[in-house]
Amino acid sequence: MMNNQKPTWKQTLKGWLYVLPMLIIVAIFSLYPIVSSLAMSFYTQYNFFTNQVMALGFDNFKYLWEDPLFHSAVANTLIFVVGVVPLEIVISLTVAVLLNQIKVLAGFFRTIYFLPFVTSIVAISMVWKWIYNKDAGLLNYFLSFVGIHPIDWLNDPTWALPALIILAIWKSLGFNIMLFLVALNNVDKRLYSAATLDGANAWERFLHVTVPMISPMTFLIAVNAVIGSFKVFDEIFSLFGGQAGPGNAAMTVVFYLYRMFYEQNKYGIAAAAGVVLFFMILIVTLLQTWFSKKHVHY
Amino acid sequence: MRKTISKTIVYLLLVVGALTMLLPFFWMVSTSFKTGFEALQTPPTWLPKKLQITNWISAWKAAPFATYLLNSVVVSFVTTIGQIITAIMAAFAFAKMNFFGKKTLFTILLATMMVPGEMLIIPNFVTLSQMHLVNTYGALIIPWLASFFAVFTLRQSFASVPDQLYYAAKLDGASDWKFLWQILVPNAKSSITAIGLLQIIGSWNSFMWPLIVTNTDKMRTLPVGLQAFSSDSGVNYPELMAASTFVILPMVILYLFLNKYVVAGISGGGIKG
Amino acid sequence: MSTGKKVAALAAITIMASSSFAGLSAVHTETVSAATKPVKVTFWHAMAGPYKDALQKRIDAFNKSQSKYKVVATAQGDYTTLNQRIMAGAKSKTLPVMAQATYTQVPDYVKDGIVTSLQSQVDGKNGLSKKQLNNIYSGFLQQSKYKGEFYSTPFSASVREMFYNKTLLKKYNLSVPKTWDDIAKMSDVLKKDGIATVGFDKSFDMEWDSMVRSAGVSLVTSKDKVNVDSKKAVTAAKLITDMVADGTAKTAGSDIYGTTNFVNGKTALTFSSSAGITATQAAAAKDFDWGTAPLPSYKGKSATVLAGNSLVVTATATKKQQAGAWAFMKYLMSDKQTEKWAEATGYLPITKKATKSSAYKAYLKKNPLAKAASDSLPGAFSDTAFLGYQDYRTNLLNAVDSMLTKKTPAADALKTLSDQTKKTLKENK
Repeated sequence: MMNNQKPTWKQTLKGWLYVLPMLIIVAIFSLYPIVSSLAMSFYTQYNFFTNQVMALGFDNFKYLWEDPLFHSAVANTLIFVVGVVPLEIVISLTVAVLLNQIKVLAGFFRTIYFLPFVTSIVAISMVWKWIYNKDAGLLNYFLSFVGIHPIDWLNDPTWALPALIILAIWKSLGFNIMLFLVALNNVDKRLYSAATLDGANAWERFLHVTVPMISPMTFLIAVNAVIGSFKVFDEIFSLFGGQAGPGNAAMTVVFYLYRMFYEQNKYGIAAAAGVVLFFMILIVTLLQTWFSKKHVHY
Repeated sequence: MRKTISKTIVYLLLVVGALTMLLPFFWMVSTSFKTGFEALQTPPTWLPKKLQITNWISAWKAAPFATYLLNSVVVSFVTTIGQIITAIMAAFAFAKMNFFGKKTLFTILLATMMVPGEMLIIPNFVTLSQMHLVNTYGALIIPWLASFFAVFTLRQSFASVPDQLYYAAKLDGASDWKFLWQILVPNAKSSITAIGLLQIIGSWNSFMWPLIVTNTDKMRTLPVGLQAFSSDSGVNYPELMAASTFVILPMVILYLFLNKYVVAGISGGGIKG
Repeated sequence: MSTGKKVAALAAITIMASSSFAGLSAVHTETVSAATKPVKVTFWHAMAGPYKDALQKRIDAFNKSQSKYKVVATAQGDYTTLNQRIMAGAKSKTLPVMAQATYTQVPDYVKDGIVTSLQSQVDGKNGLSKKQLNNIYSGFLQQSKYKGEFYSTPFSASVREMFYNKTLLKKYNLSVPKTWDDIAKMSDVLKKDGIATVGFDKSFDMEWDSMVRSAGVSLVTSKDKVNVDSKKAVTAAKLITDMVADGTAKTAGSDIYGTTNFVNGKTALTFSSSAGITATQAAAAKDFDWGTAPLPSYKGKSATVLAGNSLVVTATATKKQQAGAWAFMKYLMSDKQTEKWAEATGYLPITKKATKSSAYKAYLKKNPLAKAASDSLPGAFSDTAFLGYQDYRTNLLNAVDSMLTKKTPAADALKTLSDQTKKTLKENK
């Protein structure tokens, strides 16, 4: 980047002009509603339809602080993020590395792994419901080969979240594999030859050449996966038929927000939940950025 | 010898993984040819006892799918092209230009990525209705003409093109505009394709938004049609699965087609860190 | 290109993009008015598939029957989406003239100024006479009123009823149960072979509601008294949860509807909406032999909760549009129309005369499965609708869910529900 140059007025005008088309759309359809929801989170007495605000305050946040359902929503969201992101990265990187080693049928496999990502979650969740079925489901059928007793994936509060995590990973794997493949292809082949000459075996080459060389992409995928996982909603809505799972076991912050806004018409509380979620994501992303400064090699 | 064994293991692992990925799709297609009873039977049958082709015909007739298909195609292509153009321009400014307010703007926009979309539906609906755009292509398209995620990803890719190239182009008398479209864009072909693919898929599968901003069948898109198979007392699974298959199919075909370009672009730069 | 040219190009792109969308939008703006044309009555509903077609037929018939009004209907997805659509419409002032809505939603809609009272229409020139009102089943009249005024008219109505597997009952030499005690007895025979006697949907709240009403208690009274954790309510809930615990009953869980278990012979009986007949027929094998009956009686009485949707008129509609909507509503409530609607969909006719009409009787003869629903009508009741009902319903479903999945004792779960409901009522005072 040209940080050594000081911006001039001419450059500033030009820069903003280039950004403008994107900015107009984002300002109207993202920034403005975000700012208005931020304001809404402080409306304690409010008529949503006439936009009349009768009272302001922190009551909405106090409500969240005291609501046990919101606490479990936060906990479930964190469990979901921790459950999904590392697995997603490890599995997609493994598959990408494997795909990168073959030539015959590589395109064919790539397509298959990408399929779930292409799919509408509304459509495919029906199939997953069947896979998770306790008596007739395929997953229990396979588990029975290793002597595991049938699990009631979708009706047992203990297993609802794992079921959701498996679906989410299955769904998003394809895109991450594609990104990793792009990164792997960009690694300079000479680095591998040099490492081989130095006597490094395949694992060492992976650890000391591949991992550092693709770290910027890993960072991008991680940030993206974290943000996406924090915002999980469609998968829950489809898998549990519009509910938050048995005993609210799959209640996440976005689902909580959705329920408050659309089902219970508590707009201020929904907006406050959105604000809390925003700060949760912000903190984690900042932590990731801080971590990446130490470990990502540009 | 050792090489053959390791290759075999690689293929074996990939096949196992691929089967896991494919299974739900196999089930979807298989169910679409079953009778209503067979679809719910326990234990399930792998393949339909008798192919019920009629499911597909009645599924296609259950909603005006031809109109939906046309709308889906128009909406996803226009939004994708729009998003790519706005993203290319903005990403260029963020990657190669120096202007006042750049950092602040970038940070603010980055923050918008952290807000769940569910929160924006109603306010955006209100905005669009004030513009008198409800139930038009405008409502389906305009809000998606720009995405900061696309800008963010492209910026990474543009930044990886050496600045020297930029200076050299400038010395040769090339304008920013020319440099962007003739050098940067071809260099980032694969990441642009990837972003486009991502957007087209998102637009194609989006469900809630088209339902909220349209009033009539004339304006609706494919996934909306999927709910023609559920009533308040049950779901017609075989027809739903048939409809799901033809909702998904165009995207699979498109991916097969674009896949080549993503791979072709890789050698020429790609999303680089 | 010079800088000036570039800027111009940029501006041109932006302008072209925006103007082309303006053009697109113009194409689809529909023009209404011209004094001679009939008043357009827009109508949002949540009917899909065959139900949607049946509704369109009734609308076409209405539009043909007179020339003053023209009803234009659009499907807005399922009930959840329809509700969101209405909220969005209210916020942006783009509501239709009339809409389908559950009667329990009415209090919230009234508070938010979304719907308008129909009392003046009912009392008006084109209103309903005493005789006409008496012709409508009391359960429906009850749900049409809020705070003593008419706000909705009954439309797509269904009751909870019982489906039974004839083959299974014959095999084990059992008769169709008439009471909950009968069901307990059946279980002794069926359990041995791994068959559950009763199948519920994912939640058993409607059966529970019906049982409590049979015992003479209303869960929430019109005077805002909360009885969800009264002794009778807890006993009824315990009866159900005990049945689930000992294998007499099975809930559908992630299948959502009890149909799957029922058509696969895993339960001998199942409770369902009367509108579920069509779906069950579609899911069952051709030789699956089954019948329908009213809900079993509890404590000597048989009550069943009415479900389904009503029609409302929005507050933003003009006087003329309101009159048009009312004309259509009245048309739908006529004996002939409600009978035709019932025949086409399996929903219930809402008037007594329609149920007794020869056309409906002939229909029942051809479709014996539909009989149980109209047999249930005399004991049919509606919940009290109150401000915050959606809140209450969410909490109720949570309570049932926690009894089933977390094995929370009925008394505890219902105590929590009672506290939550009292709080809801207080907040909405």
